[in-house]
Amino acid sequence: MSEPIEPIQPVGDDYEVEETPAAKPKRTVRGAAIVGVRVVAGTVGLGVALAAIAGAAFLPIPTLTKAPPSVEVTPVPTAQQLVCPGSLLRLGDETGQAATTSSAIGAAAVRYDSTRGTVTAAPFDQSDAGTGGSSSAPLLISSPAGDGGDEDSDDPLLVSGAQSQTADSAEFGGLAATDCAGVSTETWLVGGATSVGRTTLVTLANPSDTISTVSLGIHSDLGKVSAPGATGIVVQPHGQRVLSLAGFAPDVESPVVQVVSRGGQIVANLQQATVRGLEAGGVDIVGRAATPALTQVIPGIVVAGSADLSARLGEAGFGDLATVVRVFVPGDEGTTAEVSVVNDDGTPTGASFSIELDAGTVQDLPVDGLVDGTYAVTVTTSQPVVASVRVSTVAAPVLDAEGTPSGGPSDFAWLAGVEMLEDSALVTVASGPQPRVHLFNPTDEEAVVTVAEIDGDELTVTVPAQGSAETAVNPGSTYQLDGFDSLYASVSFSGGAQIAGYGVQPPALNAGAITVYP
Amino acid sequence: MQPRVTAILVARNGADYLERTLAALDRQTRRPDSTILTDDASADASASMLAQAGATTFVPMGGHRSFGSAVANAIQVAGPSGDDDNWLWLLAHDNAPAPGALAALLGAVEIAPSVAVAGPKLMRWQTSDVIESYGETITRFGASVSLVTGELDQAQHDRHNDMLGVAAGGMLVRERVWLELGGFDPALPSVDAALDFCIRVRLAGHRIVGVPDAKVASTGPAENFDRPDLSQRARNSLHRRAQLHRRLAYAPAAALPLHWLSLLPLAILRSIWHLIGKRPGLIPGEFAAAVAAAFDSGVPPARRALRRTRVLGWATIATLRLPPRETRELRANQRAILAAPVIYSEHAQEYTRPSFLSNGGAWAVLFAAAVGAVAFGSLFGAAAVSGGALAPLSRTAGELWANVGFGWRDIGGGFEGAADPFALVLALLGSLTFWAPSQSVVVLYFAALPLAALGAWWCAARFSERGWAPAIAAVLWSLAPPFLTALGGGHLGAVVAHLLLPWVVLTLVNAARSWAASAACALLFAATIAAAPSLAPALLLGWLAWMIARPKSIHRLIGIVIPAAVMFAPIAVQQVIRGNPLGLLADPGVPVIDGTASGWQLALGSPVNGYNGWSAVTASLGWHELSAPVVVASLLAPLAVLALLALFLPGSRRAVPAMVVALLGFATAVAAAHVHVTAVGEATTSVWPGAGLSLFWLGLIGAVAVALEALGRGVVIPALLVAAASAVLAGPLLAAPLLGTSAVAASSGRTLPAFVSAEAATDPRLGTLMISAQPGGSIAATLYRGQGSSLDTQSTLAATNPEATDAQVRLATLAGNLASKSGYDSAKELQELHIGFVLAPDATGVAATDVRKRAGEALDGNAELTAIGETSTGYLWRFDALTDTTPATGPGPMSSPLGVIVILTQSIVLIVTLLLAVPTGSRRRTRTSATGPSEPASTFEEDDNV
Repeated sequence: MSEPIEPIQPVGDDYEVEETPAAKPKRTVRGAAIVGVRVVAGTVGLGVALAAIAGAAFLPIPTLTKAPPSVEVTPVPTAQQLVCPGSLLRLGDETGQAATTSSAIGAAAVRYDSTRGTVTAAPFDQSDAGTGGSSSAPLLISSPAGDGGDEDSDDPLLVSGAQSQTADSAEFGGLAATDCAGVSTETWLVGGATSVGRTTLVTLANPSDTISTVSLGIHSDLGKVSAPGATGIVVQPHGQRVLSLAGFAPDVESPVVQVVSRGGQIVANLQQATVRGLEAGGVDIVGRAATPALTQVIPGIVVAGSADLSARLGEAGFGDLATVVRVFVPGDEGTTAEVSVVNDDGTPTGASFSIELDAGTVQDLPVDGLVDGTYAVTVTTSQPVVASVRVSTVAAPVLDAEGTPSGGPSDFAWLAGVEMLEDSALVTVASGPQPRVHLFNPTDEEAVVTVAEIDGDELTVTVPAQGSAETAVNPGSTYQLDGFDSLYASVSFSGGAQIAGYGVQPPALNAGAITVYP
Repeated sequence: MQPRVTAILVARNGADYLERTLAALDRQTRRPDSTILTDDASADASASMLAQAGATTFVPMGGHRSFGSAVANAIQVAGPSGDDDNWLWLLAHDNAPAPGALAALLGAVEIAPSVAVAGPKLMRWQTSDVIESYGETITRFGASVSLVTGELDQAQHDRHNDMLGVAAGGMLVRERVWLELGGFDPALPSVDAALDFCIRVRLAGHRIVGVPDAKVASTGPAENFDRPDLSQRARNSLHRRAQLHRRLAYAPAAALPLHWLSLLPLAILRSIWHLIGKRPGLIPGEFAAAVAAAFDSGVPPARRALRRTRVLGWATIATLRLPPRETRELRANQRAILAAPVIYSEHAQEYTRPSFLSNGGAWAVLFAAAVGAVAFGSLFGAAAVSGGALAPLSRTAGELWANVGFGWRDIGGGFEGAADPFALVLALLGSLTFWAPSQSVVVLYFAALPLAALGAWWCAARFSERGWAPAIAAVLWSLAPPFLTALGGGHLGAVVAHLLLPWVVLTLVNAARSWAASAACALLFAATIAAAPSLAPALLLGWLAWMIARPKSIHRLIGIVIPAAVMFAPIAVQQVIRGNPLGLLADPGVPVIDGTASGWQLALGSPVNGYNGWSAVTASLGWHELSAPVVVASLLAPLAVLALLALFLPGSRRAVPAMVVALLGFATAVAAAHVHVTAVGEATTSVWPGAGLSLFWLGLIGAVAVALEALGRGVVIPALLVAAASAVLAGPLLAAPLLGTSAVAASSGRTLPAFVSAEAATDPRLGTLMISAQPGGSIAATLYRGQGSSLDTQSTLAATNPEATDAQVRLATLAGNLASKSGYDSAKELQELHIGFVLAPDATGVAATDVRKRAGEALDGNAELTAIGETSTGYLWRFDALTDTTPATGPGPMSSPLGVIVILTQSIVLIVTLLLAVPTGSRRRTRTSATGPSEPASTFEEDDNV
């Protein structure tokens, strides 16, 4: 019934007589010993406590760490895709009717090439300008997926393209050239104007298979323009939207447009056409500017016919022939901008200056006194900015029937800040007059850059430290740039009343490997 | 005709008794007509004593026989007389008869010719006025019962003389009947041999009488004949074996298979009963008896013998059996006799414990309850609590229980492995509110402070005589900074460990002398280590130290680790196999980075950075940044001073262990802060140091309690001071949940966006891939199934994985390609893995923002995915083309052989421990008395089942 019975010990020190507080310690040897033991125990305890805390606080205790497992994932390569924006567009048809719709003016000449493999080009299916599927439509250039059939090559497959178009009508004149760009979710377009006689169209091309929803953030010299309808612009897959910037921001002399897309990534461009009175004042397609950064470099500024230009500059409505640097500080803080202008031949210009920039407003900074030549502009700030340069050219005066010279026809070009190249890049030179490749070397060491024509000759250009250089190239050819660590490059055309240019963008390579922690 | 009596005295190693027995035999008023003295291979002087006693016949016997066979052998050697009126008087070496014993026996048989057996009243050898045995019978179920044992003889039983059976010692039996029935059953060596013989005598048509006037001494029951030092276990086993043998021998042939089949089930049931009765030692004997009975070769001869001699039906002896009601009464009486003279020891009488209701315990708990209700008031009515390391529990109790044991762990890519032992704690907790398991965590948050106070009060009261120390301990423990920080950070394991620690100490101390406390301690020990594995080393050290301190109770202490070992065995084997034994220390719960590594912070009781919330307070007041540690240190000063003072005051024998516990706790906390085993994305997080700090606080509070106890009348000021300082110290931590600055908050029970939850309601295996940008420019891919990962699906095996599994590599490949512009066929993979949603939380930091942008662009541009939009947990994309594919899954806890083995083993161990832990008030351990087992128990132990 009961458990085995066994001797039980008192638990703890329940039965220690010593602990009964009522029992007064006797003044005996034993009592003294007990007190002594307590003092020793207490002192030791105190010491141990201090040592423990000091040890934990001051000793360098090693940490046992086991790195979590990770997987290095190299994404499956895809075809590189470039979008050429297509032909110049006009609002309304040739008769001036249907002013709310856009239509094409002719077709652009597109050139493209790649380092390996066969490049395919396909016009977009659909466009607001009704050019879908035609030769005027935006063109999607796709490289072969992966390595282009050359598995052994360590060099990445590069592809590039560019387009140019010369307009020669009552309203449109001049040369428009731009590169075929890769897609992105955020595009800064620095250029254009919607003041009287200036028409600026925003073209949004969505080469992807998913619908893209685009928001436009339009900034002017007065700050952000609140524009109804500038958000939620839907661009169908393989479709192009053409929107008049004046519809969102009328009468803005110096707009900067930030294009943000969700869903399919897009290529956005501006097309500006200028008409002064009845005289065509030039056309241009504005490509994407380098993302906001502390340093913006715009190489390839061709100043030609500066004497004729300054002659016409004084005429009413010709103020925008002036060479300006358009800068915008997207952040919340203003900054001081150092604008330096260097000549490609190395001679100093004296046009460099420093200026305070306010945040949130667009400023056009005039660059005066440039003689004929080619220049590179550098904008250095302490807050990220976007920048581009508008440069104009005026042809020699035209003699009318009576022999009175009147101002020659003009053209302008928007040259946006270009992204820095860090590795080999491919550039296609569009068809156009007097094509040149401009190089700017931001490093402190001289760079020897090879400019090799695909299936053609190889040129060598020496670019001085912190300086720029240029070389003439063949129109319609594609060149590979090599032999540098950091370089800015652009292409320019100029001749008569024609000026155009575009930057050389870093290759839109396949996404790099990514570390994944599962 | 004058009856003849042959006395047969059987001795084995009975030299101590023989002198008195032989002398008593000599002094009989009616001397036996002949005496057969037989020695059963004694090792002592018995043989020579018998040889010199001048018997009619001396039979030295070689074999190791039982009493029954020794008698049979003696009769055979001496030769039966063949006389019808010859009687055998059976005596063992300790059966010293009173002078008139034989005369009285003969007197009884002479007047009744139908009587074949007469039994004397057996009196205790040393105290001859206490009855050892007078009459035996069986209950309705056949258990043998001694009608009288251990009662003072006041002639109260003398009116009974018609008996079913009598004991073997001093039995007077007609020689003819003995021979006809073949004597005692050889299969019953000692226990019940006489009873069985008597039953057969009855069934053969004879009567049996008890003769109260015949008194014969005895040292104990029959089984003591050859083994005087029989343990309780062996005694119980012998009794059970004898009962089962008799059951098989008496049963009708038709019922025999039924009885045979019932042997094992009955053994299990009786084992459970023994467990509840805190007699785990009897269980092996129970099974041994069942097995022995199952293969008992003695049954067929016994059945033949019974059939041969039986002339009456069983009904004739039915009236002599003990009815159930009287059985209960008899047993109650005998227990009362065992416990009869209750004499508390002097110590126990002078030792008083504070009372919970009248000495402040109830007030301390009420205070803690009020503080807890205010602090966590924002959780009132919430469906769940989540945040920090806390996630809601599964939605049904069934899912909760599916996450225990060994089987498919549906976290990340999923794998087959052992559940965290904490999953069982969660399953038990969640089952309390089985209709909505997450509610139990809400309730726990409200009840946490009063529960902590309650545990601390009872633990401190165990070591205190006055009310101050337990009440202050309760307040300090319920407001301990590591506890409040764990509550605020959602470290449910550390909270549970904090609540259980005082009970672990209490039961561990009591386990030295109580099986119930030992078993309760084993369960609490397992639960505490499951909740906070980092406490395992310190608790094991404490257990070892206590075993060394109480070596005589080692049998009750050594088993304490068994449930914990069994619970941790599967996960430990898996961790060791993959070479990551440190992973066992990982905290259960959602991995989260919040522990501190600063020794200062830990010493000031803060397991996270911020000095128990005082950094924020001093910062908002515009004070110097060093003021926070200074404020906290000053508020902790009374606690530290009192704890250290305890070492100098009387009672240092308790204060020293308490301070050693504190040191162990601090060391645990510091070590935990430097062991990083759990992965959180690309980073690792330390083991939660708060659990070690709880142990640190336990030791400190223990020492404070000792000091307060020793201060006597001077206790009031220090007690109030230390309590007030702790209350102020806890202020910022208590205010955090109110201000909404703590990590945990009321939750709807959802962890994924409502959009996902809505779809997962109909598709419980719907996958949601979360791609989170990491500060280092990598991404972490986490796969959720259904409504999101609940707390009980978390697995430390997954969190401490040293190498990516195939499923993880597959998931990572998918995530890496989804997060990049890629030509990967993500649709196929999403389909196969049954992933319907991709979620990308926003990122902060340069590298993380870049990689988040890259992932966002790639996901936006993925034609297979439709952007849903911004949600509370990040930007969401939907894979529209998802069909009803089935993702990889594995066996549940009960659907693989290994899983069944694990579940069965664990549940058997836990249930056995639980049965042993059930408090049974009536079965208290008795204190030993020096006079030996025959003495009535003299003392009672204080209540073991607190």
